[in-house]
Amino acid sequence: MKTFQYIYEAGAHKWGAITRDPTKPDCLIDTNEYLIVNGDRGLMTDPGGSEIFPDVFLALSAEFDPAKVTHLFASHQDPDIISSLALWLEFNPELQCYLSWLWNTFVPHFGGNADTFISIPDEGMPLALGDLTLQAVPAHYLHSSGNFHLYDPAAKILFSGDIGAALLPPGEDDLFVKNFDRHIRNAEGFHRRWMGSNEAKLDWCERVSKLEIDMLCPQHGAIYQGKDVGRFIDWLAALPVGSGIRARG
Amino acid sequence: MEVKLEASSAPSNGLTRMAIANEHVKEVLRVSAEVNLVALNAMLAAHSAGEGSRGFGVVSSELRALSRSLDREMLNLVETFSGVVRDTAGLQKQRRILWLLNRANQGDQAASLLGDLLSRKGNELHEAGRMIRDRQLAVGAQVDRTLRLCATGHALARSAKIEAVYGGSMVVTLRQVANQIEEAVSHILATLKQIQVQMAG
Repeated sequence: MKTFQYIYEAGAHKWGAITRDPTKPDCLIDTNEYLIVNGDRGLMTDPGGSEIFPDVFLALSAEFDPAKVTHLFASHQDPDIISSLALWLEFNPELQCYLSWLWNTFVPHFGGNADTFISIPDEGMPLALGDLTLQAVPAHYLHSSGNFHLYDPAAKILFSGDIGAALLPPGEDDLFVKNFDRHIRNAEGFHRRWMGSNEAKLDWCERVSKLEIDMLCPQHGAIYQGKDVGRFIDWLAALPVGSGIRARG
Repeated sequence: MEVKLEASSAPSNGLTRMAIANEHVKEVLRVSAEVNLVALNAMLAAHSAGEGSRGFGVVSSELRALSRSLDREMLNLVETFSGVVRDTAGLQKQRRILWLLNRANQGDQAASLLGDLLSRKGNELHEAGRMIRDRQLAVGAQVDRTLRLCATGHALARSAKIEAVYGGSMVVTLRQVANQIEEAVSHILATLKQIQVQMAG
């Protein structure tokens, strides 16, 4: 099963990470789900695919009342991000999901109706979780054409979706990046292939460089902390992406 | 051919009930840890109170033994209940799939194509439901055992109150400790009954 651990705690304001399921079949990409808590309200980022719903639900329930999860945040439309939506809605039909306006008529194929979705405009928007204000940060074309990250200025944490993702080999699956140079080798191929636009990448690097970030939390792989956050942004800025264009039959 | 199915478009409240019960389980676990602490305080208080509170010391030793048993029961309960929550979430997923398949099962041709699949899925769903019911029975048995422990805890709390009277200068402290124990045990008892209510549906 997956495990839950708090990665940030300041009174009623917390971030929890639901990660690492050793029993997961290899054919499913490993994912990280994050829970942002403010008092008795919770928001989950990229709650995952329907196949892993039971494991995510169990890990969450062990630490937090799932009935208090009032919102989901979907960074984009992929199945490993949000195909569990219908199952979350069966548990709580009032649940609402923040999502790029671009996917408003696509993601309902996984479940939900017109009342389920809160559209995020291209420029991003503030999101309220009780008296806490989060910020949806544009990350379009990285890798999806309607893509957002979520920044928590109070916690100084950026949920970065597929940016920062790494496909970790067995034995190198710590929750936090321990050795940047060693870790980044597991991220390179992913970013070269999955990120389609150098222009979009540089725009994102510039945008997030202006934010105070203590932790950069990707949806796959390990969390970057402290100086490794800046190192990662510099590394990505210098990395040529869009390798699929150069593929030849 | 019409296959009788346990699938519907309406949200199943099974997972909701299990999630509520799970919150109660966590609460019992929290208070159970508290009982252990209070029992330890009781022993220390009895020790400070000297000769007159020997009876209170004996009772508080019994309470510590009880809180260890309670901890064991709680850990078993949490483990079994985790299985119930996970299986119920899995069942919800299967129900959803079955509901979607059911919607596709229109007309003679679809029925001939999907009939076997729906029948198999229906059987799988019944089997999964049976397994969950078995787990729920195991949880019920564990709750019953814990309720019996709580009854013992109540009796010990009452004894502690009686023994507190002989605590000399420590009488107020000992009485406070005895009251804390009684409150904690009562809270566990009430929460366990809530779990029973949720499990019964």
